[in-house]
Amino acid sequence: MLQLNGGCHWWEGGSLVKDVIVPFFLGFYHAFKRTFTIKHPFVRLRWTDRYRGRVVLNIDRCVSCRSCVNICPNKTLEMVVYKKRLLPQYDAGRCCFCNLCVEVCPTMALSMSPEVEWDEYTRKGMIRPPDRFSEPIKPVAEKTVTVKILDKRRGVAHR
Amino acid sequence: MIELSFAEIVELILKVLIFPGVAFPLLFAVIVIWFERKFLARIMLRIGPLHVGPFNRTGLLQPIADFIKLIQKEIIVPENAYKFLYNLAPILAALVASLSVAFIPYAPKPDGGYWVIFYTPLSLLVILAIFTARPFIMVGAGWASNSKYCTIGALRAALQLLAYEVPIVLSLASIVIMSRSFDLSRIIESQSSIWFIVLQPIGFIVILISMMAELSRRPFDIPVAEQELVFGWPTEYTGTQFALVMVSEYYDLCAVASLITLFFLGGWMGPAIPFIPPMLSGIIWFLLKMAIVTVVIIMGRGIYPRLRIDQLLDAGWTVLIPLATIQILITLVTAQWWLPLVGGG
Repeated sequence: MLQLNGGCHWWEGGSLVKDVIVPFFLGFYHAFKRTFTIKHPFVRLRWTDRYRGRVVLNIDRCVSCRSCVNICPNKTLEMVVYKKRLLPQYDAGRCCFCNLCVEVCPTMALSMSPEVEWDEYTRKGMIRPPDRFSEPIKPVAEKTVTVKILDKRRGVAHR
Repeated sequence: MIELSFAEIVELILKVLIFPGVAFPLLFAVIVIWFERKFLARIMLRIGPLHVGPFNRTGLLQPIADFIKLIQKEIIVPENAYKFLYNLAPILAALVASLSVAFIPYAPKPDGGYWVIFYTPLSLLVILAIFTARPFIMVGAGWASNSKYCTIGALRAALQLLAYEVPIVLSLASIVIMSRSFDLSRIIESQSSIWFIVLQPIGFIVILISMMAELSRRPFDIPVAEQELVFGWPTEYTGTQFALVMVSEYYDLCAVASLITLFFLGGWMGPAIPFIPPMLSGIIWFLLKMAIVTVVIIMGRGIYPRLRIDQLLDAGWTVLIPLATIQILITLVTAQWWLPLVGGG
């Protein structure tokens, strides 16, 4: 009797309870759950310590051995003269964050930092001469949250 | 010339300007727009409006900021539009939408009257007449815009609104049978012992679904389907005209929430709140029930997918109208047992 319009009905493909009533209460349940997104400028994600973010140079430790320049697959690093010393210059636009330069460095002058927010407005700004290459990572925001739980139903959850 | 005393004039101004009149639907629109955005965001595990307004990043003044932005914008009239009707339609829409609040009683007064702007014993019919005027404005606006999206949206709106007025009127018939009056305040008075949602659950479901379709809210937002038609019949409107259209939608939501409260949830009926005069407590109960109905109506936008137009019309003509008719039959048969329960006689 109800199959009138070519079998296409608004309750088709499920039951009234499953498609109309259960979502209603599920919606309320979700409304009182913790949000998945974060209030970004005020709350930031804190990445794990071994996260491969910006490469940071320690000028005092560098011995100008060129190992990092030689091993870099993307020609990211280049030796330049800075305060009468040969030091690597870093092009963020070319970096693939492969960690090779950090591994090859004999004096541990290079390291990967968990800093991810270091955008530039120009292409030229992405090339970091040794002074900016070696600047310390910015302090994190007033409040941070970490990626902690890998939830089967919701994927990654912030706590 | 009608002689009015000073107290009556003050009361009239209070009614027209503050409570059921100008300020209340506007405030309702602002609060509901904010709540809708925030609530839908929370359902989708997002945060929602954040930066505008006081109280520690709640985005409370976001709707007002949006309105100010819209008012600043240029009004663009399409070249091929029929300009008179195009400019008239949003004003008419807001005007007609704000009319219905004038006939809805919100509380009983201590002297036996009701807190309503214009009292008439046939207020239910007036409200129905106001609701009947809405599709014509939409069709007029869509036709006057002279654009594909607007025309299709207007035709869909006409189909949907005309189809869903029938179940509304049929369900209201059983309410009128029950309360034996077209007077909205009498309908509330007759629910003093038992609410009509208990006596007529089928009618309540039919009215709730039909009213959501009348408001063209999800899952019935076919006339403004964003993915198919850009914004349906108000696509071409910009700036202040668009703001008027939006305001008219939320005025309609206010009226519909009031009407559902009034028909099925007993209006201002509720236990007396201590230390508060009965009229004020009546208003508080009315607004509380209105808020619940509004949340239920808004909820649909977060959880249900949109129907196709043929599915919608199919459901309207073959399911809701028979259900409403069945409700009338049940009411007629059982009226002799229920009528002693119904107050106000």
